Amino acid sequence: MTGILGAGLATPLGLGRAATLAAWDGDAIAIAPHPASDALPSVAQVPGFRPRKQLPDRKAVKLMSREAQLLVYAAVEACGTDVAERLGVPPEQIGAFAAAGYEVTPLDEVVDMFDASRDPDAPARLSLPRLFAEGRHAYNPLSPLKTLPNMALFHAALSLGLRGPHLAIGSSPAAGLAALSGAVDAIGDGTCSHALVGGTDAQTELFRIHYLHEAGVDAAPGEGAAALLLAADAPVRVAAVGLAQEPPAGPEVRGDYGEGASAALRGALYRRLLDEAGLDRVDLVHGDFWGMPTGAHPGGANVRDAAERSALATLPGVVDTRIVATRPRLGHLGAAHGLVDVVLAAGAIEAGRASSALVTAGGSAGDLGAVVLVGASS
Amino acid sequence: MSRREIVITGIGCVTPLGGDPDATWAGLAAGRSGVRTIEPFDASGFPTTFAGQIDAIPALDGPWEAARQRWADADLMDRKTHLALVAARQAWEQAGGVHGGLGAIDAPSRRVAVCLGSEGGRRLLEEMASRALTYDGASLDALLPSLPPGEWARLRASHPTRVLATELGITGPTRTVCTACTSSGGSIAEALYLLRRGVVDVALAGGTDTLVEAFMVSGFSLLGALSENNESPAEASRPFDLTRDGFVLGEGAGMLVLETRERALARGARILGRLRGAGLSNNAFRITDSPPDGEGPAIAMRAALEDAGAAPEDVGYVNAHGTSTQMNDVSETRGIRRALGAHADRVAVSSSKSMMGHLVAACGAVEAIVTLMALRHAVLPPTQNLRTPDPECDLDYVPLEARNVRGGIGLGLSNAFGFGGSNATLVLEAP
Repeated sequence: MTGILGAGLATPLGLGRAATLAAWDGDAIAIAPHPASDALPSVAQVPGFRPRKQLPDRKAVKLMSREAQLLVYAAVEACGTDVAERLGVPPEQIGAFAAAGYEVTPLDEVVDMFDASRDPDAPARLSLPRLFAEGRHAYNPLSPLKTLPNMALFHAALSLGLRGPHLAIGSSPAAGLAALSGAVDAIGDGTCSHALVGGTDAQTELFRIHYLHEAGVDAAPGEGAAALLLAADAPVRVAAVGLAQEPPAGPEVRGDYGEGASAALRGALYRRLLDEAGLDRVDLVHGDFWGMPTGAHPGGANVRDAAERSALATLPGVVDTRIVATRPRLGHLGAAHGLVDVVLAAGAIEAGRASSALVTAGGSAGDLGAVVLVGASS
Repeated sequence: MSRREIVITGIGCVTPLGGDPDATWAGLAAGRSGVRTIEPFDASGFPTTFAGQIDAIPALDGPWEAARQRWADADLMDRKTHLALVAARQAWEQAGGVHGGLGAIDAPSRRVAVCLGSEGGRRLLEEMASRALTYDGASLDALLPSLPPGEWARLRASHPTRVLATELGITGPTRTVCTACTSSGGSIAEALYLLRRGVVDVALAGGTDTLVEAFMVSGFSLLGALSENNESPAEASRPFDLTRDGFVLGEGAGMLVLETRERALARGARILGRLRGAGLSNNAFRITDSPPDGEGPAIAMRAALEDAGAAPEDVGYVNAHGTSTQMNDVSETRGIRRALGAHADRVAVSSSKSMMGHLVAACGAVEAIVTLMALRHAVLPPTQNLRTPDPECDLDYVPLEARNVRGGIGLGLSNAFGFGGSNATLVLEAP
């Protein structure tokens, strides 16, 4: 059974897995006022992160988005930069699967270019001829490449020298579990012997803050990354993993608010995974709770969280299960969220505080994922 | 336990050469170009003024058009989602599906997957400029009025996936693969794996992308990656030619319906071809450069053949990634040689991008359909504009004219390689 051989974290609770787990176990809260302006919402940022000092190739840092930097940190912690040599396997036998948030072109990277491209006769407008005559010199041509959603995974694969199956999957909180699912299957099929699985996101940029605000997400915009090294045998095992799509929902349903969330579909998926794992209950659940304010949307209420609560209530033996939500303490970590929860839950199993855990994550496009973890002795 | 055999029962595409697979194939077989001067916006100030464009997206009708309009009314129907919907409708109905349900495909909706290759939404250059020129550094107030409602939903790579799942009535697993030019090659590989493992019975797999937009054309121009042959747009994309000077942006969507052979036969579905295998890899080399030795692509091709249980000698045709950049075409040539060995000298290789341009997240799916059409028709589509051979590119690229093949082609490989070093190869076979 595929399991977790190594794990890395860079979260608002701490830089590194040990720091994050210690802060999590100590009930710390990572949400703080935005450092740039009191007018902006509180955010959850990774403390003490110095990419040029802490990443293996300081020259490559300038080519990386914040998401890529965070993922490389977590991936190096999970695997080490000599992973193929240490494991004694060819680099093409180690896959790389990740979810990365959609990195919006940061305004501060294009301001100078557009400023140099103003139409002389109408300074508030852009002049295309000036863009190519003048503006291009004020712009790093590699900058757009930072925004491609597979670049974070590329930098991680390059840092670790991984040449196996390579997939960047989506950008939602559930996408991390989709990446995990793909990696578990690839190892199960023998397509690769090991796999890096990652999730990363950086939502404290102005655009991202706005979008979360527009969507009515009450949790603080956050940033972070999680990485796992999967192998066929490991101390914490992935007993079952599954994906589903919330019931069809037309444009009138705002996915951001989770209005398409279905307690029945969620409950059926979670119960099926417990069956596959051969468990009659789990000790711990990291649930898909977003903290959406009731009534935040004209037609809506907190449908997603209510659906999740109802779904979890159908699990066998749930009265003895510890159910936790991470967003109130870590903020909303977007595409990193599902896998950060997986590493936290795996940490609880390793520490002996739980023998099994269910982690669930939903995306605003209705994609849903869940995974059951068990200790090696279970 | 024998492995589940996966077949193709529906295909659909919209490309610069035509609004469906037959029209696209007819254009390719005739060596026609879909590349022309950009019309949707004034590109006259750009270093590159042409692209592979879709002049008119084929009209939808009935419930499909009503669906498109419903999303459009909510400001949630962008061009890439529109293309995806049109291509998906073609593939879905050919396989027996109907709007809102499985129809003759006859599977529980939770046993159907949607695997889509898609990048994040494309921004408008003027919108970005407007925001940048009024940006004060740290205030939402200046920014808010310039951000249209629904923009975030449209920008998500998974938005077309959600729309297709909704309109086709699918509640099984969904995966949105975002590996740049390899996105839809990867999404089809993921669908293959889900079907083989028995997670689902049916999958809609493909990709969609639109790059004929000022922000994308300016971005790739600044990167120096585009051909600047503005005098002769139709001759600009020249894969494997000594004088090639960059790739040509394009737009399009391609979709396939995949299912197990067993259930396709049981329900009497028409089998269009087999998806025999897939292979994925990473170069772990550089962001935009292909490895000179071609080893990363070769890993994907070898893995795909192994996955298909096939030998190099079984391959008769390679639909190349063939971008028309100096680096890719040499790297791919060497990769094909490494993967196929001596048999590489007996294989036909051609690039559809010579006529359609580069459809990026959609290219893997559209070119898989092209490969399938080539196998079905026993016709090798040409590499257009290949007039001056490059000594570094020394394979049979089917230059300028399509070629009939007697007795069948054998297996077809469809390659897709992407920025960020990702590689995907699919192995296809005629029914």
